[in-house]
Amino acid sequence: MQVFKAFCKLAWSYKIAICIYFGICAFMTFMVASQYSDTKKEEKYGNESYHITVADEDKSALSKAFIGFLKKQHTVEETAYEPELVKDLLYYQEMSAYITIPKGFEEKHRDSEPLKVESLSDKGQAAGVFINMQLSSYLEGVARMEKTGLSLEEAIKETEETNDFSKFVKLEGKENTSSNTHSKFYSLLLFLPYAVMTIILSTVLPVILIFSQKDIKDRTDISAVSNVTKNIALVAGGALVSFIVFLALFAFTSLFLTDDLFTGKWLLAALNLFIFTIVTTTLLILISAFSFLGIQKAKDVITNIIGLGFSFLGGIFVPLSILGDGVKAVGKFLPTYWYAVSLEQIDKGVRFSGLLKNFSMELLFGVVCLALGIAISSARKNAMS
Amino acid sequence: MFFHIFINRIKMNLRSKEMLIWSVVFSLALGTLFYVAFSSIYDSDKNTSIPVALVEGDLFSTIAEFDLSNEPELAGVELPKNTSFEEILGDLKYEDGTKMLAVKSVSVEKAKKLLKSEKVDGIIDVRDIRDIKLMVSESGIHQSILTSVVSVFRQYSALIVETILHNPSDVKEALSGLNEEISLVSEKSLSGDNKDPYVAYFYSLIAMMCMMASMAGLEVPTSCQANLSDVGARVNVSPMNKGTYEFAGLAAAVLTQTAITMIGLTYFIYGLQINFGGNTGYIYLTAALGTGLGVALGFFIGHIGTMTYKTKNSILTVVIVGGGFLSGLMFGQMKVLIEKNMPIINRINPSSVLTDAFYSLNMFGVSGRYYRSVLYTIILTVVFIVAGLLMSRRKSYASL
Repeated sequence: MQVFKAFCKLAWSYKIAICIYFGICAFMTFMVASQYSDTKKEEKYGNESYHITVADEDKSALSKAFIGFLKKQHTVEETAYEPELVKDLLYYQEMSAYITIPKGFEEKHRDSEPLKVESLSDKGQAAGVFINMQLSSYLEGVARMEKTGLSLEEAIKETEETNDFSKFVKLEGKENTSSNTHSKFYSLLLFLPYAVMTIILSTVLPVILIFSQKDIKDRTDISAVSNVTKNIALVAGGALVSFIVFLALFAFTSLFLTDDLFTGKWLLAALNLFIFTIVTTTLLILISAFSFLGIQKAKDVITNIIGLGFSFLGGIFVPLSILGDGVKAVGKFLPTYWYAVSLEQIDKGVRFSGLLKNFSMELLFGVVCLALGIAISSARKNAMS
Repeated sequence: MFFHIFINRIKMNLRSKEMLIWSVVFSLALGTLFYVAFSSIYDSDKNTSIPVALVEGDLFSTIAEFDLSNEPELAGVELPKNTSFEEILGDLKYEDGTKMLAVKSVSVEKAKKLLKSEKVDGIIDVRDIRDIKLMVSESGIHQSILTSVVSVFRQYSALIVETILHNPSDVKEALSGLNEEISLVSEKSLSGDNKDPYVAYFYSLIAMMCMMASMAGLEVPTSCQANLSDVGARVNVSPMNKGTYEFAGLAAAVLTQTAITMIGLTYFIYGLQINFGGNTGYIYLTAALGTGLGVALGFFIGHIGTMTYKTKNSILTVVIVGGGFLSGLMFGQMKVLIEKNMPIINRINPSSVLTDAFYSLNMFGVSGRYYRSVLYTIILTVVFIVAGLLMSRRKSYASL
């Protein structure tokens, strides 16, 4: 009990670090979650949808019809940005095209030297090509229709008719697999493993490493407390802190998931995170087995390497769908990958039996960490004696 | 005295092997990881030929072979002959000259088999010229491009077919409208050395490496504050000028940390062959200045109040991890989202300033924007050092 109390006291001394990481992680969760739409997948075909900004200087019937056409497929923001910010937004793919409709466009669009709509995009990317094709198809279509004698209104109507893909595209076989359609549920819970890892590693790891320091270890070894009791107390302390971290993070995130509270999906997500928390705790045992390497001083660096590394490779920060096959192959050895896969399946409505394999893979990582940690500690102990 | 302390501080830094090794491991490990994760994403979305099956039929031939001689008012008008859809589609190219479509003209049954086995991204069915159709098996960018191609053909077919079938006297205008080059869109491409947005993760990583140097900066005041360390107590009772001691310690920390940053950066540029964009010399210069800023930040935080080492360490953690997040280390678009909504944060967050300096070099070259970031870095470094030195003066202890 004495060791357990000492563990708790030491862990509590890291309360500032806990608060800081919790604050950072909460902020991250909100910011990342806000980037996802809450749209559901549809069974019918849909073109890829991009974020397009239109600076409409013309405000004419043609420009309004054109913007209306774009809005049917894309997220269109009508505003004008400074050139530097435009470049920033395009580079970071926060926007796929910046379109400027010059003043007097409608008036002069049929002239021999017409005013042109300016489209700025990354033309080396398929998205830029697609958007430019759409622009040309629409605007030049209207102009061609007008040349046949149709009025502007009729030409617009006719062009929109020919561009309405619902009339000529047939989806065969698979369901719509369009990207960026993850739910709020998925987006909010996806980020939690990073929070769990960083908080546990930055608070429990230093405490365990303190108990591994030579002076303290020697003093504990010659005390009346047996080695088994000490280890049980340390494990119990680590488990308690980890459980509190899990509860706090999941409860906090659940506040924003009122529609899903206490549903089967919510309970499975809780179980998924709980398993991940257990695995992180076993990872602690493995890391602390290397205390003889003097990792005490480098605990922050180790926390960052593990936290960021596991999150990137496991699809926590960057969706698995855009990571290459090689990365996914490496990710399969990490619990973050199986957490992300499980969460995706839970979001799709897969039941417990369908998730067993993923949960087992997460736990397997934990078992390997535990076994390695114990093996290294024992080998070290034998070598010392 | 300065050089004596300087040399000894460097020796101390080099003897702290765990810290040195882990700092280098941090940059090498995360750099390799980012390389593995991001190196192929941008290229995979580049312009590539889209495999497509084409199902042609008799109606197209009927239209193509429409006998205009039966219409006296159409004398002199010629419909395109010997031109198949396959050729027209095959001629479509991206700006870089890559063929847009890899067309296979097959029967409808074969086309469906190809679509099912994912050997083509779509089937363009032109058996009925008045109702050209597209069949796809999933949504995606290739399928979206195909819909745009088909839309254009539907426009053309609407123009020609409807005119021929309903107003043959207007065919001349319709055809002249088709042949006429109409260009209403001026397409401009994003300029810059390397347009791969995933390189920005490396910018943020280097910025984080620079900021992590603040931990070494924190050691300097810790080692000369009597309430924080034994060495500090001894330094305080010695007749040595504290300013000289701190300045020498600071210089040693900057030198050691800059070396670590340079090792990481060299590994990224020459080992992993990451194209950062911009002049390599300026990239090294920016990283060196950033490391200086990191050390100065740690030095400054180390002098604030009488907080414990652990508290000061936690403050630096906020700056490193929080700042890294705001600069886009965990979520690439974060920096630009902040720039759009709260640009002031990007101006004061050291990690964002450094990330922006690398980004500016890539996208704008050595420009005003780059100089603004560098100037801010230098000014902030000087302010932190001067403020730290000022705070360290006249600090006395009632008892030790």
